[in-house]
Formats: sequence, structure tokens, C-alpha cells
Amino acid sequence: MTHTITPSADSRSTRRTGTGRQSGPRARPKLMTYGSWWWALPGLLAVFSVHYVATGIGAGYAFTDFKGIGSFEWIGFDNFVEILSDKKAFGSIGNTVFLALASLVIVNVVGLLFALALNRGIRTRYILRVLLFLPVVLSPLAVSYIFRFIFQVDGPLNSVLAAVGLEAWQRPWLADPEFAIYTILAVMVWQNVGFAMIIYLAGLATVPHEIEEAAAIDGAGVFSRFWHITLPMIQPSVAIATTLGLTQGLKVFDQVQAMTRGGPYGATETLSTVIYTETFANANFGYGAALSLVFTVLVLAAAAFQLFITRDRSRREAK
Amino acid sequence: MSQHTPRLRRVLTPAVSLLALGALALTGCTAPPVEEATEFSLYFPVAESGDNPYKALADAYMEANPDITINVEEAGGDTYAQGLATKLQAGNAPDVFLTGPGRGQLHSVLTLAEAGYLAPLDDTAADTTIPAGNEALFEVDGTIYAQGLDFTVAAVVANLALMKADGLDGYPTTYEDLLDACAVARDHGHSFFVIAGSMQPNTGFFSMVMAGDLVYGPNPSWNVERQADEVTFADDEGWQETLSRFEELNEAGCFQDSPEAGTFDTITNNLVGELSYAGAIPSGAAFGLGGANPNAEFVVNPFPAATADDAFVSASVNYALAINAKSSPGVIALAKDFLNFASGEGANVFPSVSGNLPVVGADFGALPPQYGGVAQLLTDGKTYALPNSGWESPEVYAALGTGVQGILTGQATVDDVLAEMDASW
Amino acid sequence: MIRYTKWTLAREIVMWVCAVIMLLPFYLLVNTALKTPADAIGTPAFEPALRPTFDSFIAIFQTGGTSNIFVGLFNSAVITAGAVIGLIVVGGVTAYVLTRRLSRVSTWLYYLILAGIVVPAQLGLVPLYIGARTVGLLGSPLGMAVIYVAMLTPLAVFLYGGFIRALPTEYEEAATIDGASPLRTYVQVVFPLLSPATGTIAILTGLIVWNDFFTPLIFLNGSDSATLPVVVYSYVNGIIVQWNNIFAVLIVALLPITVLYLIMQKKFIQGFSGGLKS
Repeated sequence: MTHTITPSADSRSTRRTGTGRQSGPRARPKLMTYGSWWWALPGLLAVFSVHYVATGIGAGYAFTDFKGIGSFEWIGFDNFVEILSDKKAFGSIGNTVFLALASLVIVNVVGLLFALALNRGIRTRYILRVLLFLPVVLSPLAVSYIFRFIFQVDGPLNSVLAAVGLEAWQRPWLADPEFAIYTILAVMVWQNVGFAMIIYLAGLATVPHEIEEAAAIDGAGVFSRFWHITLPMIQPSVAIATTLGLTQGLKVFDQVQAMTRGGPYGATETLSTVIYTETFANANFGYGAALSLVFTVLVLAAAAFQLFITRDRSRREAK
Repeated sequence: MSQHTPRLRRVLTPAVSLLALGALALTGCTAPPVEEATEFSLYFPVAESGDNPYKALADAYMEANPDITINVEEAGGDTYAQGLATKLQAGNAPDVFLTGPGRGQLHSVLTLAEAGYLAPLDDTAADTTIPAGNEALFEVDGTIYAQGLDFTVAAVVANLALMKADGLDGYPTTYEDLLDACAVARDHGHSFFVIAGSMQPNTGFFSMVMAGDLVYGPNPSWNVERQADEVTFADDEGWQETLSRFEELNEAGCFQDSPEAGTFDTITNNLVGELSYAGAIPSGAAFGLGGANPNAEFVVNPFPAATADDAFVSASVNYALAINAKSSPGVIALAKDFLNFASGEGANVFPSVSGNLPVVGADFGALPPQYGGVAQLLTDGKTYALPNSGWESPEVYAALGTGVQGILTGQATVDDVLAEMDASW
Repeated sequence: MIRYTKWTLAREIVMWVCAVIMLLPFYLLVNTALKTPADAIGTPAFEPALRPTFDSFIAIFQTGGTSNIFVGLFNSAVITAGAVIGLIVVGGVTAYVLTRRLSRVSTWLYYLILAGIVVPAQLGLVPLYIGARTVGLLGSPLGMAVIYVAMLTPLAVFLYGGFIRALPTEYEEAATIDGASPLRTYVQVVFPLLSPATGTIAILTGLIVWNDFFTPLIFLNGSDSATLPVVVYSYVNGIIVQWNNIFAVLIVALLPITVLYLIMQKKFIQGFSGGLKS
């Protein structure tokens, strides 16, 4: 965050920024009490109970056959074995990964292109940004219903295809075993392009125009300028946009529930929807917890991997 | 001298107060005052079409008892069952609510009764609303827990006017005739059936309608045998044939285009707009649809079996009211009075709005013309209860519903689906 | 200066075309909502409503029970406000204490809290559900707000923490010298200085809570306190709904946030990009 507070005080305090753990000269440590430890208690309590205790218990349930009410028994890894043989659960993992990766690539490429286009020059760029960002703030559920209308058998998409003579491409999108998943992808992309665009715009704003001009004068082509100068400089934005995009993509739920409910015949089930159905509709709490555990591991692994891939390599090269 | 009285008082006052307290406690213990309740809450799902029969029933009761208020709560669409489950678990459930027979769904009577959520209805006239042979679906250990509201006929609702306009003599009476009629329909740009292939409730319903002549008519205790693991879905020829019919009907063009993508509005639009002849929907809908299109002639018919004699129709109590066991005694007493009204003077209110048959005193010989196709079957008693009310868990019905869509898209075979139903049992 | 060449013009036109295509769904949304039921089915979707009518809006006014869109709006507003206020209060003081009072313990706690951002809440959802059920918070707006505060505190602490670290301690020291208690110092000196971060948090978390569907689906489904997305879901899954009515419901559901966004777009966009840069 570009800190808008410019310290007017002396420079001693500014050494506390950055890593925060550096022990700069601590002014008057004995007199100064910043708040009281008790203040942090509610927050700590809330976070630990919800994010750690509940998660831990949930992980525990994964090894039982808990059905929501009544007693349960420890069954070890049985749930996990069942996941492997459960066509729907297994298939949903594939769908989840596909949706996450595909949306990640498309959203970031298109978002970056939009950002590059809207970075400078165009007079109406601010209005365009506002318009293109609008889908991001809307409820994914509501948006999905609009798209469900669009993808109906007798809906606008098929009519448009007929109008341009592409009747062969018409199909019952939402009930087509092969293509239904693309409808979900379409909604995800539509909603998130603006988000990526904004992140990249913020990153591009830090690239001084002069460097690019200097490179152009030196004879570097558009693409080469982009690849060697712009892209490395917006690396933090790439890292943020891709990591967030990936973890968000893996969690996709609203769109599937609204558009296809996992159909046809499980072709669009994602891990989130399967977890929901098993846990809350079928009350198989134990099995659902096992699925959640797999899911959590998947998300954490993806986030870690993503951060690793987009780690800041330039710092080592720069200095 | 002056010391005596204080000491006496010191002893007397606590003694008197103790006695007084004791007396109060005793009166409290012996007869808990049943305060007269003057209102209770009623929870039910939104009407599928037309007016809401639950509201009508509530209004009728309030008219007959002006000082009683019923707070009605409607649940949208298919969130009713889950909403009820959440409310019961959260402890803020309504006083009277809809339940389903048997145990196949989240709001099934037996499941809820066994969990202790329902109040026993022994001192009401509820038993008169349960048709003979169906007690097992509403009773636990001989105590009845829910009261039937109407008698639903689950069959095919067909537009005879449209069929005749296309040159057919009438509703096909055999399966072969049905397939021929499908071709005739196609020639005229119509489809015989409209099915909501992407909606579990409709595909499941359609399957249950077809399972009549193949499974449950010939063997009414099939569910009991399945419970005892004497039979399975996968090994049963009747079930295999039932689901194979979906493949055959699809290939014969009996369904509308892209049946796997159909939704409930597809059904409504096609039937009212006269693009399809028939759909597998609850009989009450025949009245609602007829109201939307007066030119059509919607009649309830059985699914065509191999021969006319083999046909069966599903007719059973599917909507039953139950009382929340945790409501206060005064409210429970009031709720029971309401139930007695529903089975007594107000017995015709619910069925007349829902379009289904009255559960008490239905005269099968004098049914409205919409029931023309099934009147004889009802009189002859060739009926069966909706199969899923006797199934172990809601997952089985869900597996059936999604499985049929898989059959329609070609993603699953009949064996796959039956195996899944067994696995979910 | 950047020259406005024909390439720039070409870019501008292309981007406008993109924008129009992206916003087509909104046209369909509003157009269909204004059609009569017959037209909604009968006429092609792109065709403008020849006989625009507000019938669908009137119809949805009358839906009752748990599908009432206005009840949903109210519940969402209450829960979102409650959660955001809770987050600002709890997140602020927690971040303050953990970043100012430097010690090994506080640093460890700080990073443990931050780790909570990455751990998805889904695994803990079932125990949370059971816990809420036992305590009686199931189906209650208060319970929902509390759960949201717990879920999003890591994010709030992260955003506040980064901001507080950059804050010079001079102001607080001056206040203490003047005799202010730690509480007064926080409330009257530090908190006002945190307002940019507060703004970002209010927008980011407010949006997350407002649009959240999964959690309220589980905790509030069928209850009287269902939030907007859950209400929309119940409504659309009713059996006799038609598209013009569904879209009317969607418009009512989407209007508040759209209007808010258009009024405060700068803040929104800054909130998203600014909050994430730190």
C-alpha cells in the first residue's frame, strides 16, 4: 500500500517500516505501553477457534464415520480410500483443477492485455476501467443466473449462433457432458478479468515511462520491451494476481450451484459442490470432512507452488 | 417480655413463608396450567402451480375460529426440506409443518419421529387419514405421527385435445401404441413427452411412474424385500426394464429435443403452449395447467404398460402434517384441534385447492373428468405408494434422478445407475 | 507527452467494443426484466421490450416467506454491517497490539494469525456448524456475524498490521506524555490515522460478506435470517418462476452494490489494488 502518511517526525521511526522486526533505536521503551495484551484476546480467540481448532476437529472427523447426529467411530483411512473409488469425487478433483488453471491463464492474459491497453493514452481510460471492473463486485450467484439464461437451449447464445450461420455449434450448453464445464469457465472469466486488470494496472503504474522510451530509442521492439522490461517490473502483481486467482478458482462453488448443480450427471461437479452435497445434503459428515481435508491440502499446495514460481527473482539480479 | 414475641416471630415468619412456598410449589406441581394458546405457526413449501392449498386450509380454519391466528411461513422451491432440517436442529422450528411419508427424504415422518421431533397424534383423528396398508409409512411403534392431507395420484398428465388434433384416437393403452404415438407426434412437430431432464425431482418422478407396472404393481412389498437385502436394484429385471425405457423413449423421439436440458419451465411452457402432449407430474397440476390454457384437455392417465390390464397407478398420501414435539402443551393442543379440523369439517379444503383427491371419503366413482384415465384403476385398487417413501435414504432418490439425466446424455448405462442406487442405499 | 496517434484511437475503439461485449449481460438482464411473461418467452432475448412493464417487480414484491427479496436485503445489510464493524474493532486492536508490542510471542502470534488467511475455512465448517448448533447460534444473524469476524480477522489484521508498522510512534508517545491512557491513545490518536486502512478493510470485507453464498447457505438456509444470495437461490429454485421475474429479483439484488460501486468507484478500485500491494 502506498502509505499516504508521510512521517513528519524524525527519521528514527522510519526504520521500523519494512521488516518490522529490526530493532532500531527504540525510543523510550520503558514509558510507552501500546495498548494492553487483553485487547488482542478476542481476535486471537476468534482466529484460533475458527481457523485452527475447528479445522483440527474437522480434520479429525475425516477419519471417522460421523453422520451429523449420534455417535461415530474411528475408521482410519477408509474415507480416503472411498474417495479414490468414488467416480464423482474423483472426477470433481479433475474439474476443479481444470477450472482453476484455465481461468487463471485466461483471466491473467486478458487482464494483462486490458491493463496494457488502458495504461496510458486513451482518453476515456478511466471510464473503461470502471466499467470493466464492475463485474468483480457483483454476487457470483446472481451473475451465474444471468449466464444460465444466456446458455439456455433456446437462449441468446444459441440464437446468436444461428443468426451468424453457426447453427452447427448450437447445443444444450448446460446439459452437455462435454461443454457444460465451459459455461462455468465463461462466468468465472467474465467476472474476474476486471480484477486482474486492476492489479496489473497498479503494477504498470510503477513502471516509469522513460525506461520504455529509452528502450524504444535503442531499437527494442514492442514485444521485446514488454518481455524484458515491463514484465519483470510488474512481477509482484503477477504473483498476487496469479496466486489469488488460483486459490479462488479452486474454491469455485456459487457458479456451479446456480448453473448446473454439478450436472449433467456429475460432469461439472467441483470439490466444493461435492463437499457441500455430501456434508450437508447427505449428512455424511465424516466423508465430507475427508473431502475437505483433501481440498485444503490441494489449495495450500497450489498456493505454495504458485508463490514459489512467481517468487521475486529480480531482486537478486538487480543489486 | 418483649423478647418473646420477636423470638416467636423469628421462628414463625420463616415457618409460615416455608409453608406458603410449599403450598405454591405443590399447586405448581399438580396441575401445570395449560394456557389457552391462540396462535401457532405453520410451515410449508411454495405452491407448485396455482393457489397454495396450505394457505387455503389455514384461512379456512381461521374463518371457522376467528380468535385463532395462524402464522404462515412459506419456503421457496426445493429448500423446504433443508430449511426444516435446519430449523429443527437450531431449535426454532415451527409448530406445524409438512412431512413426507416413510423415510426417503429429509422431511420424512419416520426419520423425524425417530429423532424425537414429532408429537404423537394418538388423540386425534389422524388415523382416518391414512389409507389401509400405508400405516407403516406414518407410524413408529404403533403410534401415528402425521396426518394425511390429500391423496396424490402420480401419473402422466396428457393433453387429449392436442392428441386428437394430431389424429390420434386417444391416449395409448399399450407401450407399443405409445411408441407409435410418439412418431405421430413428431410428424406434427410435437413431442409426446416433455421431461425436465436436468431436474432430479422430475426425472425421479418419471421413473417412479414407470416403475408401477414393472416393479411395484406386481410386487407391492418390493421395498420391504430390498430393506432385507433380498433383492437389489441392479439385479431386478423390473428396474432394469424401467430405466431402459428411458433409452427407448429417447431413441423413439418421445421426448422433446434435448431432454437432458429440460427444466420445470420447459414442462410448463410445452404443456401450456401445446408443444408436447404429456408430462409425468402430480395429478393436481392437471387443474392448474388446464386453467392456464382452456383449449387443452388435461387428463390423468397411467403410463402405458405392455397391455392395458398390466397398468398400475401410484396413488398415496404424500403430504402429511406433523406437530413439533417441542412446542408448548397449549400450542400442541391447539395444533391438534387444527388437525382435527383438517380431517373433519375442512377435509375438502386442501384437496380442492391442490387438485388431488380427498383423503377421507373419496368416491372413486364420482371423480372429476380430469381423472378419467385412472378412475377405473383407483376403483379396482390397482395402486401403489410412491416408491421412494420406502427407501433407506434420500441419496438413493438423488442417484436415480441424476442417473436418468446421465442415461439421456449417454454418460451412464442403466446398470451404472442401478449400481449407484444400490451403493447409496 | 503521450501522443494520441491513430494506434491509440484504434486501441480505444477496440477497448470500447470489449467493454460493450462484457456488459451485454446487463442489457439482457434489464431488458428481460421489463418484458411481460409472454414476451419473455416469446421474443428473442436481444429484442428490446416492446411493451415495457414493471409487472415483474410488482410480482416479486408479493412473494412471501423465506424467498422474500427485501427480507434478504435487510438481513444482508444487518449481517454485513455487524461483521464489518466487528472486524474493524477486533482487527484494529489485535493488529495494534501485535505489531507495536514487539516480542517473540507477539511476532509468532502475528504470523499464526496471518497463516489463517491461507487456510481455507471449509475444513472447519462442519465442526463450526455443530458448534453453532449446540450453542444455538444456528440460523441467527448474530452467530453469522460472529463467524464472519472470526473468518476474516486474519485479513483485517494483515491489512491493519502493514499499515500500523509504517506509522511513526511519535503521535502515540506524545499522547501518552499528555496523560492519555492506552485506550484513549488508540481511539483518539491511532484509529483516526488508520482511516485509509479502515476504508480498504470495510470495502474488501464488506464485499466478501455481502456476496458470500456458501456459508449462509449452510448456517441460514430456510431460516428467517437468510442473506441475499441465499434468498435469490431459494427464489430461483421455486418451481413456477419465469425469467422476467427472476431477473427482477436479480436486479433488486444487484442494484445496491452497483450503485454503491458507481458512487465510490475510486475507493473500491483503490481498495482492491492498494490493499493487496502491501
